[in-house]
Amino acid sequence: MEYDSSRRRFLAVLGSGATALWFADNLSTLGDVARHTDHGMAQPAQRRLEFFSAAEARVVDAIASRILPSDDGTPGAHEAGALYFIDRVSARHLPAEMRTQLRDGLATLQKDVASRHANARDFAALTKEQQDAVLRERETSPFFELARTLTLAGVLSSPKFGGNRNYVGWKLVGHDPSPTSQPPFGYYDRPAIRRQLLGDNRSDA
Amino acid sequence: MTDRAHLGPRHQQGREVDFVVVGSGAAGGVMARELARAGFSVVVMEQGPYLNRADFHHDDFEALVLGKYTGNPADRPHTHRLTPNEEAKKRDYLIYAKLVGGSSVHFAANYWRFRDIDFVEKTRKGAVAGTSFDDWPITYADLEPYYTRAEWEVGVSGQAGVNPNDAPRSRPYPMPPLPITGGGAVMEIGAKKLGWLAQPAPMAILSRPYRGRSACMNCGFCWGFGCEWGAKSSSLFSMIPDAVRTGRCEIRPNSYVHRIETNDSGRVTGVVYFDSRKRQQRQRAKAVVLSANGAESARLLLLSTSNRFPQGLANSSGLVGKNLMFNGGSVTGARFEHAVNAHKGAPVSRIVLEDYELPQSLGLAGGGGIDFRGGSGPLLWTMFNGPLDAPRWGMGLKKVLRDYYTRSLIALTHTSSLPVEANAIDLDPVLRDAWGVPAMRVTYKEHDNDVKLMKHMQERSVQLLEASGALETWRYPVSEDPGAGFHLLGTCRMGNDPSRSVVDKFHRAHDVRNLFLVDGSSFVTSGRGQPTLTIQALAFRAAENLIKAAKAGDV
Repeated sequence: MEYDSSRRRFLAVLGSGATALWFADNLSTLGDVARHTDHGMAQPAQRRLEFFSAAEARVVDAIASRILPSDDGTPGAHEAGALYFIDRVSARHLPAEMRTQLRDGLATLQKDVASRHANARDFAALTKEQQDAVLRERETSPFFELARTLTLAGVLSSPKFGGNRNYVGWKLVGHDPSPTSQPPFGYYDRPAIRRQLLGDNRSDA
Repeated sequence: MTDRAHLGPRHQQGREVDFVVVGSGAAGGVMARELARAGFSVVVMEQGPYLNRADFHHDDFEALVLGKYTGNPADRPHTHRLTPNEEAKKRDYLIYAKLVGGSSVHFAANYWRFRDIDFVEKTRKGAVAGTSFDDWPITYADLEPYYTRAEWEVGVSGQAGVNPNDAPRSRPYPMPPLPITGGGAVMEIGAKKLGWLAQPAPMAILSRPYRGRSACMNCGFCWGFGCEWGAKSSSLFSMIPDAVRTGRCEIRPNSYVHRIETNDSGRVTGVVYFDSRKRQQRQRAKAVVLSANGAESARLLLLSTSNRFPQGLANSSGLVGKNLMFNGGSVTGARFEHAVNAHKGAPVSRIVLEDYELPQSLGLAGGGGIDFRGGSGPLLWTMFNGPLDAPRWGMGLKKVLRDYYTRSLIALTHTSSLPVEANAIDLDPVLRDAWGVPAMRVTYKEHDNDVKLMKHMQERSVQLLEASGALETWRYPVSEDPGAGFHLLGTCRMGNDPSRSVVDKFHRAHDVRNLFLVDGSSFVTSGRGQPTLTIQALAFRAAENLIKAAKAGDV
């Protein structure tokens, strides 16, 4: 699937099928919708931190990378820029108690790492195995739950919030973000498959 | 933009208009349009903003996490408890949209008619202990012409005559059903195996261009979102523009009505509201139509106390806010071998109504229906709709994300709720909203019958999923605490006896001659899970009678 060509595909739909008549009457509004569809997903140009310090950001990025890793060579939370989503949402949208939970959780994590790995600068400096061990110990904590939720949201939300860079998250799950679509949508609703599986030759919509 | 053409004429606040309509959703939109078309001056009060097509994005974080449609719960908090002897706790429990068009903007657009049985179930099947189960003062036959009107006026796609058990109808749908979706196609496979009928779903989404509006583009962002194409037949795209076009109806967004005013003779004189800058304003009117939904309408009546109406307006029966019903249901996930892509197309394209009425041997009141659908965008789908025992992080999570999204769906069941007096909306004794107005308190616990019904329907949906070829299924638990309420029904029930109901069969408050309550609050029973078409049919019927009465000087 070509995710970056949604506008092109969208324009291609203009000529097709049942709605052509409507399109002819509505080209001007359609242009508006096409523009807003692009605009609605545009990623913020600047990537600067609004909430975390550089040291905190290093650790948040490392945690997110273990929650959704790229160990198999395909993009994960780091490549999606989940850090920038988490940072932006923390600064702009999270309620105060969640911000505190995040900051306190990071501080506790740092203490824990320092007490066990005297030579390591922070969580991000540990090996992946060491990182996983640290996270496994707290995987039922509210801090981990928040970090997990924010990471997933950072991978799968609209790129306009700073994450899901290059649609990494949507490509991973197979979500097609084009603004329009034509049936068949999947395997089972293909006319030939329906005929085969239902054993008749109905031709309804 | 200074252009306010979409809001209609500006009626002066000091001047009395014919009607104030509180709420601009499924019912309020119909009332405003019909009254304005009949020549009356109308102001529609909407607590939320006016958003339009260009504001609606494929953005699940903004819509479902940040509450673009449903508002910030911190501003409008409410509390919940299961039973009246518990202390209610702050909870984001009632989910409804706060913008012009109301919840018809973000709903999934399932447009089932009720059947005969829904209006006379108590007489046919018998009373249920511990409930206020009752017949409606009207029958399906009384409402049929207005179902037809609603379907043709707002634009509903569907196919008549497929299921012989569907209620009789005087006219087919104005347009054919939407294209079959992945979920609908899977459902057909299972239904065929079981000898059940998977019938085309009636949906308030256009399958063809209709009255200047676009047909559906199958983008898949319906459930929980506004339609960027204007193809979803919400009040925002169907009724409100018609109302404004008359030149007699003003839409007043960001206007939060918190009191209905009455005079010494017990008549309504207008409403008091906060404008967008939290300044208190008044709008006088010859009559008030309350279409704020089954939760907000009840709350507003309870807020509008006076010497003459000490227990709330129109509440001599004591039933305002009581008998709250949500419709029950269950959610079951399932994974299939091939791509379903349930995130494409309309939320629902096929439904199974085999269990609309249940065999007496089960000993359960009510019934329900089933549909197969996707989630509301990839974010929530992934967070909540994976298998319950799936790995929560690491490479295991990555594998789940990769394997499930395109191949899985959820089977939803939709069930009737029994009216129980203890299930109620009232005012929280302590909590206030951001305007200083007493917040809503919700008391709600599912009746035992309904918990059993939901479990029964969940098993029926699993049977259907398995027959459809599901490789695995996972049941989300059903409990006496539904966790959230979306359909807000029954809190100002309709009836002939003023001591046992709040409005008469034409939605006029028994206690106040120029006050009309038209929304889900009028429901006596809940139907099988999709109330909006019935809300609109009732509104068309109420409007017709109100117009006649007003023209005859009887308001």
